[in-house]
Amino acid sequence: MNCRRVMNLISAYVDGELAGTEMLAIRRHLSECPECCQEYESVRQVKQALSRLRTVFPRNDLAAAIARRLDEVQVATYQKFYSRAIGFLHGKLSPVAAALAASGVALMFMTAGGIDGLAPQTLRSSVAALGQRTREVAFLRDVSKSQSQFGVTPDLVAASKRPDPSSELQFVSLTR
Amino acid sequence: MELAEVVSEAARSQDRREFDALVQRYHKQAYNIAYRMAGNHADAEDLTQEAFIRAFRFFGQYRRELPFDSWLYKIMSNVFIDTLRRKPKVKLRSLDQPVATEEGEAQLDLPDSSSGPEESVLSTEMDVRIQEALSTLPEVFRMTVLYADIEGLSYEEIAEATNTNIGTVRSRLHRGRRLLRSKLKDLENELFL
Ligand SMILES: [Zn+2]
Repeated sequence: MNCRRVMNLISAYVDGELAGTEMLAIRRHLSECPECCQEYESVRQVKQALSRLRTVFPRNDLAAAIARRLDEVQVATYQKFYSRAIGFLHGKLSPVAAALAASGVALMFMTAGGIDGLAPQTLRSSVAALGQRTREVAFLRDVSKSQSQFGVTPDLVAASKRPDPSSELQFVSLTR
Repeated sequence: MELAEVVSEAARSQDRREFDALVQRYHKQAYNIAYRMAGNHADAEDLTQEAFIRAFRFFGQYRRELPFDSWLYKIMSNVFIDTLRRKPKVKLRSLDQPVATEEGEAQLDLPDSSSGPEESVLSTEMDVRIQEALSTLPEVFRMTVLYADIEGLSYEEIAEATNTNIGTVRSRLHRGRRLLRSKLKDLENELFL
């Protein structure tokens, strides 16, 4: 291995990020080439100096400050949800709603007759009935969790698009 | 709408509880690297907060089998680059200038501790000088060097965090360390044993 090649690989050599044969070839070269050896020392020293930088601490309440900002993120999301849901109810949908709720994850449906809790077994038929009357279902973000928790059939899940990560909540079209 | 409220509140708190625990666990580590990237406390705090908030927005995409910090660094790298794009160049230039002494003291609120030998932390002055040198590096070089030498990430992890390939990581490290070395030339005797 010539000096130019060794010089180019020396940083990766210091980091132990080369293949075994390259590591060996460079080690051999370093043992007999003062110039490259000097380059090696210099890279190693820079790396070592950086590793000796102090740990810099934030102010004590940074985690709390982040939590407060996360609350705002939530509020904004809620506002989006409610304005959309209300607009939805007042629009093409007659006041039709059903909600399925359990342990933190839920699918929300707007169906006739107010809000009812649906047992998992009735979900599928409710969706089918719903599909005839309405075209849209509001999903909470995590469709896959709903799937495992409520046994929602894959075709329902497949009918929903992957939620946009930038919005907490999405209305998706059910094309059935 | 009352039930809807209950439902979304429940969904919310599940993710939030998990995420709050992650904030608690990782915010100091994230802040340390953010400080070294940004070069001052105010920008380090903004960077840390933005990274966590963006992480929370995309939390649904986080694959739990990956370490959270790797994922957070990927987001933080993006936030860092985005922030720089929005900032006037002047602000960046100011980092080239020597840091005021008070700020130098203020940023390093660790006790000067450990009179231990080789592996001890640097003196405040050395620390400030290295930070200045870091701040003169092009941002992607700076990030790459910090991930490698402060966080100890592998090239593969750095490539993932900085959205590039291993060959690019290798060359950025090579060039970044060389640049640092030339900036620190005058400290040779004090810094390099
Ligand atoms: Zn040589």
